[in-house]
Amino acid sequence: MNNSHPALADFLAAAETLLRNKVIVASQGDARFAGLMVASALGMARREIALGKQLESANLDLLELAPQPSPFPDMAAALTQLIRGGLMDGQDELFRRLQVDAITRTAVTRPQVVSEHELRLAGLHELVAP
Amino acid sequence: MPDDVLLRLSGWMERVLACRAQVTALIPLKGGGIQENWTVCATVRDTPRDFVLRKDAEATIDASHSRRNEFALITAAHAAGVTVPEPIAFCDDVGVMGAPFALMAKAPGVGLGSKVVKSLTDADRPALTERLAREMARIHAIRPPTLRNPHLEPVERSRISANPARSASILRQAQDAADCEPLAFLGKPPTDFATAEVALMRDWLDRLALSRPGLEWALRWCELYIPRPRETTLIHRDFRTGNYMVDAGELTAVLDWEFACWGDPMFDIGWLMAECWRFSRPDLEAGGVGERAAFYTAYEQESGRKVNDSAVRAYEVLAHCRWAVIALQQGDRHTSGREPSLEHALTGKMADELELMALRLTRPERWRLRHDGGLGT
Repeated sequence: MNNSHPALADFLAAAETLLRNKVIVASQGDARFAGLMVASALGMARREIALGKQLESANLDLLELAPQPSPFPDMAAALTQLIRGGLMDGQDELFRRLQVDAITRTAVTRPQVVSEHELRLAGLHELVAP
Repeated sequence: MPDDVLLRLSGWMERVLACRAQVTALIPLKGGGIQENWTVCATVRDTPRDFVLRKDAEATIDASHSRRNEFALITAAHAAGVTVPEPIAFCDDVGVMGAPFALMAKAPGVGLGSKVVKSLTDADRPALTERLAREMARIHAIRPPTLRNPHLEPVERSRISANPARSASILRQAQDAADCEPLAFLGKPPTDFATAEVALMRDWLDRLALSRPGLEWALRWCELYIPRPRETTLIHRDFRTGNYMVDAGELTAVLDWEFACWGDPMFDIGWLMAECWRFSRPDLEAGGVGERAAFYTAYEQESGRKVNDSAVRAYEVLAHCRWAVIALQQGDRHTSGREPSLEHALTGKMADELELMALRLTRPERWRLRHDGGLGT
């Protein structure tokens, strides 16, 4: 565990706030667009640090469903082949894990589109504001 | 832009327009992640006039057409009465701009999807919804020549362009060109469009060497539940808010023909309706602009074709998958080092929310519908 991570997340949050409140509001056109992109990237990096454990756990949970051993280079590729081959059509457990994995990743990349119900489902409701 | 480029472009324009023309400025346009787009400010017969020049960007998306083919598509659409930027000419000579390019009239208005949705008034919305439906129906009136249908459906000349002489000339050219099948580069129509699309998405993912089980789940659903097409027509394949221009609430041009192909017309409707293209108005199912039912009614009136609602809704799932895979391709332009850009990297990240949207539409209970005699039968 890297103890510098919480401090790094705070550091990024401060940079994002400064950028949004002082730079972007005073910019126009291409400069404003560039500022918004940088702020968006900083926000993603901050949330990825904050939700690092949850991201890893959701992904591992999903990949547990992959067959082992398999001839594929990684477990995600093995799971892909099962799904493509129709061997997991409509399975509730697979869907639940896919959903939690996608919710957790989206809570990092664009949290505003994740509903409160979905955050609860993925156990993120105390970590991410809906 | 160096003066010699402006001079070369002026010379070429004088030849194709057969009149005095001087290019005064070339201004890069925003957007067009797949092409470079420029505004060409020119004086033609002493009158200032703006054009748009499109040429390939450094890295292009797998499925996009060459500029020549895209120009042929726009010309065919123009002749069929679709509101597109007036096609002027195509230039193969790389000596002019460093790459082949197409020149078109510049359509006025706003194109950016989020701005279009925000800028519309409640009074604008119904008329624009109906117009979108009618424009799409005219695209779907263009049939594959191999089906022995008229390549170009009869159109009222007044619909083609405000300039009757120009319209007649374009129509003649398009009809002449139809004899040698100008859209032959589109190849043979697929027998089962949805199955072919799913195979294409899987191939694109494989080529990116990415495993995305969530997208695979939704693609498998599409494979099982999108109904076989009832007919095959030209489809735009990227007909959505953000790819047409709106000026004072009125549509002025349908843009971005680079993905057009023969396919199931219901795909285009599903693509426009997909939640990912509604921007700040997810409640307005027709592209964030209007009501689904109003769009269907106008489309059916213009095309004489019944909308297959269950097919459209199934294509909405495919729309999220397709946009997710294209976003991943855009992200790969950055991560591969071919075209480093924060914008491309951020676009790649959109795949996560698109995957979540596709999962919301393919919950396990929606996999049981076929067996109960519901969707997909």
